[in-house]
Amino acid sequence: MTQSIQHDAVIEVTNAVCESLLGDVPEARDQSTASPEGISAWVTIRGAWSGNIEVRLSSGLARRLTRELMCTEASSNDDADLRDVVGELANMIGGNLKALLPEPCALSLPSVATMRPAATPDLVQAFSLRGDAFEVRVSRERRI
Amino acid sequence: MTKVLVVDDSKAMRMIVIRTLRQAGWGSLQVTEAANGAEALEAIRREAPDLVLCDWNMPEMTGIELLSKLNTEGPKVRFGFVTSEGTDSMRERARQEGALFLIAKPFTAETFGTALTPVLGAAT
Repeated sequence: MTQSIQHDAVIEVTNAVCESLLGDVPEARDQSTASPEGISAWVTIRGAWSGNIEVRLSSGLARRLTRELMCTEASSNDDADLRDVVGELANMIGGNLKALLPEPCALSLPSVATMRPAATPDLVQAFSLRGDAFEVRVSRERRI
Repeated sequence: MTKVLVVDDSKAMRMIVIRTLRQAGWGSLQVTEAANGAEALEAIRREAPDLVLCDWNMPEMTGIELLSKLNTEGPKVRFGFVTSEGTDSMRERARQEGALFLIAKPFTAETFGTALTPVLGAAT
């Protein structure tokens, strides 16, 4: 069992989640792409591996996803449906990545915010979905 | 009419589960929704669904806590998980509590067909 999360796993899981939800597979990009400004959703894992799995995406992409999945127009990043959609995106990606980690681990409910978790990520995987950039960021918590 | 209760704290996921049921051919089900285990318990006692499709990780009462409570207090109901986590230990715990299946997100209409046909009968 691997002790860390690798880029290939993030790409595989994210592709499967996006294809299932949206019928579309995103394009994995290199990390030089500028980070999207907008909204972050993350889940926290605690146990044999502890850290955060974060999905960071632009407000425009979040609104498009909300429109496609829930047939509603989100007016802002505080819209309940938009926060629900991006939170579930993080939950699905985080839940599937957790399955690759050593047990026991517990997965939190998703959190959603305009501000981002403070931790410096160990891994950033950038994607492009229909021209919009988003990122999956993995931050491992190290205990001294 | 066959009654199904969809339990998930995400409204988006409840919509996706219901849409997938229709895509899998179960378009004429009577579907009700609940946002956590506590709401689901009330709905089960009120509606007596033929099947509960339940998320695992939810506020108030988790899916496995709900299933455990149903086992001790009733009523008995056919129960399956639809969850973003599908580890071996969770599948084993679900099986021990009597869950009929555990569908891991992301899923397809075919996944639903395979898991639900033995419970609901073939889709039309």
